Amino acid sequence: MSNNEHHIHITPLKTYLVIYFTLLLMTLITLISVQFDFGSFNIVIAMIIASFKATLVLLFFMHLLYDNKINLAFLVASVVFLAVFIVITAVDTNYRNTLYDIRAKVVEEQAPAENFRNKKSY
Amino acid sequence: MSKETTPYFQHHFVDPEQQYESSKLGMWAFLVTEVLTFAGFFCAYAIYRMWNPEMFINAHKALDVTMGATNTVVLITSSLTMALAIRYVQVNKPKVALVHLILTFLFACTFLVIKYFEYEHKFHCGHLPGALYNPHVYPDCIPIEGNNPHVFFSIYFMMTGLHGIHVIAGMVLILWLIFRTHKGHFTSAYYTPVEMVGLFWHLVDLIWIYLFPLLYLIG
Repeated sequence: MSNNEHHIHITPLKTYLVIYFTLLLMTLITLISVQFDFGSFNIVIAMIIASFKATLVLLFFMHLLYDNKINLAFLVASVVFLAVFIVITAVDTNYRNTLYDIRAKVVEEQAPAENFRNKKSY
Repeated sequence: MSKETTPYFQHHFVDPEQQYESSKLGMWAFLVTEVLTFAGFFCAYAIYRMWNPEMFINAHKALDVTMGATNTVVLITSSLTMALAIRYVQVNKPKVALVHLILTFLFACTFLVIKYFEYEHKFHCGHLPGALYNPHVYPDCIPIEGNNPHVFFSIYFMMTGLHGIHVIAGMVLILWLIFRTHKGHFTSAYYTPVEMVGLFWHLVDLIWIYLFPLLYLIG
């Protein structure tokens, strides 16, 4: 506890610049990759590249690589719950029509206001 | 770094390092809530895109990829200058850190100016969220085919709007840092606010890293 200076990791300038140019290169690769049509894999590729960029920012710019690992645990927990949120909602909305006859419909452009006014209870 | 030489050391902490670590953990707890706030929008995006895949592809063509890509570069650069500002205050060069904070602020301004021109074009074309959606047939506005295009613009404006509010909040915080760095409040012994605002600013960059491909670069 006596020599606190040694606990703070100071990232070298070179590391920051390498990360910066990697991030720019990854942005360029994302822009190039959408020029090709991989069907539904386009979104997968874009998300993998974005997650790689996010990891670089988190580990180096936000110092998670050198930090107390409890901070990383917090972040991982938030990402896990983000995934739970999206996956469960997607499963619900995609499969509820196997239980009820509810499907995504076109919203009527000029639906009469009376349609909504008289439906106070559901 | 002894207790005597650290004016910001508070008595209820064991030592300045524990004080710094506690602040940082608190900041990460806040960033977790930020991720979960945006999770709602990412979830809405995922569900509506699954329901209207064609419309999302058609509607995203109304967005300007050049402006979006420029803004990505601007935000990544501002993240670098913010990280360097923290580094320079860590190595006890607050004057250089001040320059980097001012640069970060200017990049944030650039981001908002570009965002303004994007929004202005959406308003001009009537590509607005929800019930406000009222597409005009001007030569510089592309027609959007498919069901419910207003849903795409609801999601676009809510996501980029909330992100824009975070940019403005970050700018206010960076201005506060510029003021305090100018006053000479920060040294290598105490720079907790610089580090915390830095974390916030990088989160704003992180969210944009996902928003850019999701909104501007749909396959």
